[in-house]
Order: sequence, then C-alpha cells, then structure tokens
Amino acid sequence: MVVTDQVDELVARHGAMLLALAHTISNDWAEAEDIVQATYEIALRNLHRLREPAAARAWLLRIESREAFRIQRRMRRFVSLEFHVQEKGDIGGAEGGASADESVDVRRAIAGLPPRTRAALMLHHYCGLSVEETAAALGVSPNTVKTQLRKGLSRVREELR
Amino acid sequence: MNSNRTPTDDLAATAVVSHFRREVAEAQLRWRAPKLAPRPMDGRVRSARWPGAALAVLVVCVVAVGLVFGGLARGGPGSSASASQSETQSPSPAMSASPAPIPSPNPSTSVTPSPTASPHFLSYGQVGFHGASGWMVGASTLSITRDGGRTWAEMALPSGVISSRVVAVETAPGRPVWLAMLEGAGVRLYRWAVGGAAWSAVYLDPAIPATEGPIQATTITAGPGRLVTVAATVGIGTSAADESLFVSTDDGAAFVRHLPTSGNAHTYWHSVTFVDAKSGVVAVGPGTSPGVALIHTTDGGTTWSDTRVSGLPSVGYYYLGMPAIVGSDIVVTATTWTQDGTDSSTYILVSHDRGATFAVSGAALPVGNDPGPVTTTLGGVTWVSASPSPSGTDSIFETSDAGKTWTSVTPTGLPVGGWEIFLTGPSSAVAMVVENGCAGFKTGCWSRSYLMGTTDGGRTWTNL
Repeated sequence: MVVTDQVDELVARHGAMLLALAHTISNDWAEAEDIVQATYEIALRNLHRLREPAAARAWLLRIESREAFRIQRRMRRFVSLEFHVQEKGDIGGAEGGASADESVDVRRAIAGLPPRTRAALMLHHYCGLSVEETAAALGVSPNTVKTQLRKGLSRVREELR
Repeated sequence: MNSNRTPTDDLAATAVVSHFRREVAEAQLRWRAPKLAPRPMDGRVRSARWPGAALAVLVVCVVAVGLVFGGLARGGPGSSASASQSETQSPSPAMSASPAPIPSPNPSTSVTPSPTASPHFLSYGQVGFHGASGWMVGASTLSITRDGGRTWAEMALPSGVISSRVVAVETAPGRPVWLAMLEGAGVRLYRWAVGGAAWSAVYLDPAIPATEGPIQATTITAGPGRLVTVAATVGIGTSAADESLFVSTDDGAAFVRHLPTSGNAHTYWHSVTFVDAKSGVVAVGPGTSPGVALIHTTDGGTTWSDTRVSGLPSVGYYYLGMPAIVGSDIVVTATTWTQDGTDSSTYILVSHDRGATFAVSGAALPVGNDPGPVTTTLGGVTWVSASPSPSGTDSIFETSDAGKTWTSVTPTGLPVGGWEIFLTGPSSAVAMVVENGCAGFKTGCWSRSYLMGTTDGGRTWTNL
C-alpha cells in the first residue's frame, strides 16, 4: 500500500537524480523524461508493496536502469545528436576539484562510453550503490560491473592527462 | 560502498562524481511539476510520454490513496484513551441510516466499464474483489458485482456520504457490503445486508487520543463464516503508529473493540487476516526480516507476537501478498528482493497453525528483475504475474499445489504491467489496467484505467 507522505517524499527526493541517470544512459533529455515516466509508472504500480522506505532509492534506480535499457532497445535506431550539437557550459561551473576544461573533457569521455558503463559509473560513484547493487540494477554480474567501472575510470583518466 | 576503487582511480573518480553532480544539477533545473488532469482516452495509444503523465497518475493515486487511507484531519473531539480493553459497540438506532429509496444490488441495472465508458479514474483502493464478489467506487455510486465482474449493480451511497470520503469497502460472496468513512475521531461503518433494502450504520470509536493524529488507514476484511474485522491505524511511518481493531462475528451488526497493547503491534498494518474471532495474522511494515513482517494473535487482537517464517533467504528485502485462507491454512506469497546481484523470486508461505508460524512450501519461482510481481490467491490457486524475461513480456504463473509445481501462460490482450489482478474463480480473474500516453509529443496527455477479465486461466483477456 502507498502512504501519501512516502510518495511525495520519493518524488521530491529522487526526481532529479532519476532524470540525470536516464540522461546518462540515453544522452537525450527528451528520452530521459520518457524513461523517468516509465519508471514512475512501474513504481506506482508496485509502491504499495514497498515495505522498506530505506530501500526506495535503490529500488527506483533499479527499476529505471532496467526500463531505460528496455526503451533503448526499442529505440536503438535513433541516434542522439544532443551531445554533439550542445557543447554548452556546464551548470555549476568547476567544482569538486575539476576545472571547466576538465569537466568538458570528462563529459566527452563519459559520453563516449557504452551506456551500461555510464550507468555503472553513476550508480556506483555518484549514487553510492555497491558493486552488487549496481549489478542488480543493470542485470549483470558483479564482475561485469567491476570491469565496466575499471574501463570507465581508465577512459576518464586518459582524458585528464 | 565504492570499496573496489583503487587509489590511482581517485582523481578520475572525483572527476566522475563532479560530472554526475552537474548532471543532477541540470536535471534539477529541468525537473518540473506537471500540470495534467487524467481523462478517458479518446484516441489511440501513443508512445510519446513525459514525466508529467506519470506524475499525473501519481497525483491521482496520491489523492485516491489519501482518500482510501483517510488522510483527513480529525474534525471531532478526541476520544477517551482507555487502556487495553474489549468492549462491544452496537449500532445505535440514531446512527442507522435509512435514506430515501435506494435500489438494491440487482444485475438488471448493470453497468459495463470499458476504456471509453469508464466514468472515472480507477486506482488502487477504488476497486476490489473477494472471490467472485467485487466492488468499485464511482463518482457518486458504488458498483457491486457477484459474478466476477461480468455484470455490475449500482448502489447509491449512504445518505450524506460522498465517494471522496469513502475510505474502505469490502464484500464477499454471500456476504453484506461494508463501506467505511471517517467521522470525527472514528469510523462510520455502513452495512448493506444480503437481501437488505437500506444501509445501516455503526460508529466505531478507535479510542486513540486525538493528539496522535488522524486515522490514516482503515481496513475492512471479511473472514470465514460471519467474521468481519475493521482496523484503524494512526501515525503511519512513525514510532507512534497505533491501531484499533474491531472484530464482529455477526457480519458487522456489532463489534468488539481491541486495543493492541503488547507485541510488535505498533507499526503499519498492511493486511488483517483472521481465521476465527480469536486467531489472526497481520502483515506489518516497514520491515526487512520475517519476524517483523508478520505478527499473530490468539486472543482476538489484544496481544500480538512475532510470527516465525522459515525457508526464505536470510538477506535482502521481501514483501508479502495478501494472505488468503485455504481450508484450515493461511497462504501468502512472499517475493524476495535481494540486493546481492541475484534475481528476485516469489515463494509460497503456508501456515498450518493459524498464523503462529509460516514456512516456505514448494520451490521458489524466479521472477527475474521484476521489482514487483502481482500475486493473487483464491482457494488453493495462486497466480503470479511477472515479467522475468529481459523483453519485459508478462507471464502468468500458476500453482495449485502450494508452489510444488508451477505452470505459465502468456496472456493475450492484457497490457503489460496490469496494476492489480484478482482471482475470481479457479480459472477466472479480473485485472485493473492503468494506461496513459499523449496525443502528441508531450501534448494532449491522458490517463485511463479499466477492468479486463479472463475465464480461461489467464490466456485471453477482454474488456469488462
């Protein structure tokens, strides 16, 4: 069953993160919105069964990751041009130890990674999911996630040199 | 977390975190509250969607659930906070509603919900089935079916009751219709007896201090024989959650009130299942271990003890379906949601001792990465609707021997992800389907919900 406060809290707390993850996977904000909608549809159908509020975030991320790649399979004939035509400045400027130039390089490096690797990087390094949780969200083995993380960071490291 | 990061990755990892922080910041700017009103669909389904549609569904669901759970402030004075006691509450003549002529439930006045004819948006809590008997709360009426949703009879709501204030409804084959609304600090429970011609009413005083907040959840459950229980909960989501339980053995003419005083009773009650007036089991939450998720009583609901569950994986999360009474047993589904990289599985739990203990029966049913398979149990039959394959296609799995063997069918005509499925017979069921979409790209967005039925074990589904 759903408790109103929990629903409101889920939306308020995780909406932007879900949209960002969807964009990380799709490289397209419009498609990202579709993914977030699909995620909420699934979550709404099942929210009354979620008994552990502390697990809600990982639960939503898992639903979205699964749904994002399902949608991507459907739409793989389309190619996102957003990254190539939108070399805009980064919101928030340089922060966290990376300069503006570095952030552009990092953005380019991450955008060039396979979608699952991008998702693994965000789920693990930003969202704080463990390797096992990331693997569950992406439907792959923990060893695969470790490989994706290693290759992803290696690619970013090359851009920073 | 992040335990696999090596020191040489620190700079790169920091850059990655900074990158995603900026991504979230931009997403935060793009994230917007939708303004969308659900309406029946008048065109074909389009795939173009936007978060607003989902949020509109969300808003509707929140409103509906809020209504169902009675998220309304108490308007009346506080009630007395007597200690643990049991007492009888009989309907007061003054409280018995005898409204103007009300048509009795009669299939001759049947209505047929359809995607285009549904007069209102359905959501969880507005439709329910107990075997072949079901109910649906409309804008100004209550519709009742006794044949698994094929025909519906409209009933006028009790005088002075509007649908938005209905917080719970229940009926079962051969049983009255019960309807609850909040009134003051308590619950006004209306009853339409089998063969009756009008609503009668009884006021249930939860005896919970008004300072503990409004009633947030009201649950009516028809049990065996003429048993019916009503549970009212306040303080959901807090350590001060409190419940009052009312038990009737005469189909709701009179109730005995129980105020739980011991055991792990002070959490949110998801379901209430009594096998007789003394013995019952309640699924409570939140919880991550079997001992927290089920509690049982042997004294009608005054004292509660943790129920021991054996056979489930010892790690991760799980959630329970609605417990069902099968003969002298209680059967409930449990779907594990482990976070160690393994897929989810659904188990059948059976209690042979009136809810004191449960044990896994049969084999686990793998349900892939499905975060929430729909389960329903009626008699000795359990269905699990899930999409364990990467394609996302739903399958319906059935067991009629408590999980020892499973068969599966691919439903035809049923949209993927039906919100809820109710078994109405050994091979028949009703599904409440929720869909939404947009007429154009992020324009003309709509939501609709409707009922579908199957009579061949879930193979083919048609609109009801």
